[in-house]
Amino acid sequence: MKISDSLLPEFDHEVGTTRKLLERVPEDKWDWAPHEKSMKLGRLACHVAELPYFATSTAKSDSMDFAKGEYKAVEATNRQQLLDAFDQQATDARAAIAALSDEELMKPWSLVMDGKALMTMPKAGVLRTVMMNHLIHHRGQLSVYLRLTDTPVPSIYGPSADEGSM
Amino acid sequence: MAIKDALLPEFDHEMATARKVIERVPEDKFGYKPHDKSMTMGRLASHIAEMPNWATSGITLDALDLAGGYKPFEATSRAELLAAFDKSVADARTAIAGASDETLMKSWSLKNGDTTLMTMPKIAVVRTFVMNHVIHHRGQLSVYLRLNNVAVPSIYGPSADEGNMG
Repeated sequence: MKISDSLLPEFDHEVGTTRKLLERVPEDKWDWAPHEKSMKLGRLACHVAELPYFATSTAKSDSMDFAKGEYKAVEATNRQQLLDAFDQQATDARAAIAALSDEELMKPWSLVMDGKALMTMPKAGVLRTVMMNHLIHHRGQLSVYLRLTDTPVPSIYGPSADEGSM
Repeated sequence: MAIKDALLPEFDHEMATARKVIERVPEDKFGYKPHDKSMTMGRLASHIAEMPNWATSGITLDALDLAGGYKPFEATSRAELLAAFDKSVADARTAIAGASDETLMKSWSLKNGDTTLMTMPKIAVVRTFVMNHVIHHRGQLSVYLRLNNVAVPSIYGPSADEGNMG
């Protein structure tokens, strides 16, 4: 089985769950943060929405240079912009993953700042760690933000205190 | 490349990060919860610690029956928490390292008595229920730590407390 074929069903599943959370981000709490050192709710949701771009980047290039503005931050200021941006990022990322051959996925990709490589790993590792795992991590944080703003939390890997059953 | 060989470095990396996070759970805050509907910090950290056991049972058994009685683990001290985590990670690692591609592509089912709740390949149990599920709750736990003014370790990049990109 091609690596991309094993990844796509999981990508689709996690993207579907992620959208369920993003759909619930309360617009009137965009600037809310649970702690002074925390990201604001709107920024955290935008960060989740922009992470699929890492997959798109691995298909386009062998590196991403922060200093050259190659990281495409999502700067949504309302829920519709957030969902539109996420849908576009997820669609682009899915097409990129589907097009990546096993050979290409074993090639190195680097995160670069001003010409200096901050980290280098096989493109498959970028898809798994920098995109999927990283997205799931921040989506987990977002689920706590939803809870703390009394927004019903959807079922994610099992029932939440609000929804779902086994 | 065998599936397990692609999986193990990522498993080791994510479990090492998970340990860094649960090591910081303050022993006097096991009963803390950020919201009435939230899990307590002790239960959340214990849930992360018990999760790798699903990889072991998913690989060695063909089904898990919830009617058999799932007892949620709840550590009462940091030593108990870390010992349980270390054992469940070590057992899971052994199970993954011993699994052929053929085994990992076999079906596994979650059942409740005679009802089958879901069926998926064993590799998906490891990927979704263990890896992604641990990462999800570890993300939630990082917010709990922040809310208790505990320094949050670097996870995928610098936190507001530790780490840097260069």
